[in-house]
Amino acid sequence: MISLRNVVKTYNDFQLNISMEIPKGRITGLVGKNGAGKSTTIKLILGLVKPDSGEARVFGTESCKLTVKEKEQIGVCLAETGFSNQLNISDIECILAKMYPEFEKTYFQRKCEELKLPKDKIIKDFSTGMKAKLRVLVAMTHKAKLLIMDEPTAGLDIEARNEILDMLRNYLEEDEERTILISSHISSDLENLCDDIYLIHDGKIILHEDTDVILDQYGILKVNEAQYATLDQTYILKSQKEHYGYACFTNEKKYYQEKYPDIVIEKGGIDELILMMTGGYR
Amino acid sequence: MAGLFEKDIRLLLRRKQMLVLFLALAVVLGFTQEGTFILGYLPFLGMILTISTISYDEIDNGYTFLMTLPIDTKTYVKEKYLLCLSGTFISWIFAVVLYFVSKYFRESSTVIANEIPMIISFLPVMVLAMAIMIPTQLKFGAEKSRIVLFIIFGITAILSFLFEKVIGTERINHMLIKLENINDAVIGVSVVLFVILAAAISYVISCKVMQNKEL
Amino acid sequence: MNIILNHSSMIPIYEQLTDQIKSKIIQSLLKEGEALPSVRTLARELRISALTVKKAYDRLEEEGFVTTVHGKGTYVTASDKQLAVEARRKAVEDAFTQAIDKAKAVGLSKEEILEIVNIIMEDES
Repeated sequence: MISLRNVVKTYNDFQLNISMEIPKGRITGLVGKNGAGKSTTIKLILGLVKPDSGEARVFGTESCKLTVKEKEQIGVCLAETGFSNQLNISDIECILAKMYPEFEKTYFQRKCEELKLPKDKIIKDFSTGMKAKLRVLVAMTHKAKLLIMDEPTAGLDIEARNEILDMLRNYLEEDEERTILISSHISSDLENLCDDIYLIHDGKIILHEDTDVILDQYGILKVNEAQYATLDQTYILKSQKEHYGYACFTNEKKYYQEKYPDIVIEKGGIDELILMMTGGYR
Repeated sequence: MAGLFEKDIRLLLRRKQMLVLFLALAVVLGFTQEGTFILGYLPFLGMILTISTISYDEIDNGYTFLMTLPIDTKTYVKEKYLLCLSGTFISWIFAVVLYFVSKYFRESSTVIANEIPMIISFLPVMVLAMAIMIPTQLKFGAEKSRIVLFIIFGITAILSFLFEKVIGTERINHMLIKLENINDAVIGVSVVLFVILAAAISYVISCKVMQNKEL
Repeated sequence: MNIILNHSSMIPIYEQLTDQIKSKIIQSLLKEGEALPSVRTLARELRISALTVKKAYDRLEEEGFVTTVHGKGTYVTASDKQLAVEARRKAVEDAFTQAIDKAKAVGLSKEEILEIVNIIMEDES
């Protein structure tokens, strides 16, 4: 579905250099700190920005050259921007109906009611949560085969976040060929939703792994100096000095569980992964 | 494009109160002023209003989202030009009607046929203004383009001033007399061609501006 | 499906899933020929990734508990098939027991026996 091959994009003080392959039917998560390159990656995928070198392709076509018909198959939810905030829901409904031949009017209306989106207010007067829900809804109501979501749950409370995640899960359930790319830095959302995760840092992909592998096989060993000295380093990805000794990040938790039953081992979620791989682990 | 029209017309209609005010103003002016003012004022208003939809698109990185919809930059530019031309033309028709109605009520005698060239002459001016304003707004955004337009008009004023000084009023009068002798039809056709050319160049520039926009 | 997952447990999620579905089948809470929920549906219900559910289903299929019909879904295999798998396993266990008895009779230690197994397996791969 999506393919980025050695894509390079340079801005003043920042360079992005990545490769990514996202097959059909996947939900892929893109995580990273602010400024790591998530939004740039998404802009490259959508053809909003041209790569300095390398190729960005969607549906096999170069992103900058996507045809109108191909764009009809893509649903987009960007973080800070959407339709003009002077419009209201019925305006948007009519606009979408004219833009997307597959627009599902009744579904859109029904969902607006379910999500309690105000019919007579203009978007400017919506709360943050409502704006976010509307953005997601706009992307999901024209049977797009590919959804690209840049921080769809940012700034939302847990209830709203769960509502949106459930919407995304339902969306995928309806058609197994649908693919979703989500960028976020709310790890718990991704852990419960995505099939695989790309971790981006300073413009580079530093990890790509299936979610359940991250949750099941990655872990953090907490060892003192003595234990560290005799520790089998085979599956240690990174070690960091701590006040108690060392924190060692591994992708073979089971190995160490069996070999060193006395050592403290913590589960590694996406947050720990990020902190460990980008050096900020405490 | 239909979606874009839908969006822009709905945005314009949001400002119902302002539109009604302008219309009321127009009607009042139409009846109180000596006719031709309204022939310039209303179409100009129509043009400004339709072009203002660009600033709605631009705000809050709106272009970024817009370009992810199933349209391309050419379609976006085309729609803007069509919207502006239609808006201007409709206001012009309205102005013409008002003009003749007010003349009728003031019972000034008029031969409609004679007035036609004068009435029509407002259109090329509007199209020319549009040809300058659209690419300027697309490139510099609503705020900066005001300054740019100011500069352009300033430069035009200075140039015409210098032109007069250098060439001398005498020679200008000579040229004007010569112009008057040229067949009206020839003038008409050349004006139309010039305006079409200007509009075409403006369109191409606008497309380039949008294509190279950093989103 | 009534599956309860413990996300804080050290047991991998897909293993928990496999075990619970397996025990339901064994206890006949899931009948022969009954369809399991689709991968995405179960993923949605349990709030986990679809890939995890797929891994669990694949594991169950390897062990003979379910059969996936491409394009249709995943079904609990007829219990005689399960029994067949169980029977095959039992046969393997019996064969091992025999071989180990023989080895012990010749005087081989546990480590030596395991080494032989390792060498044979390495040769195969």
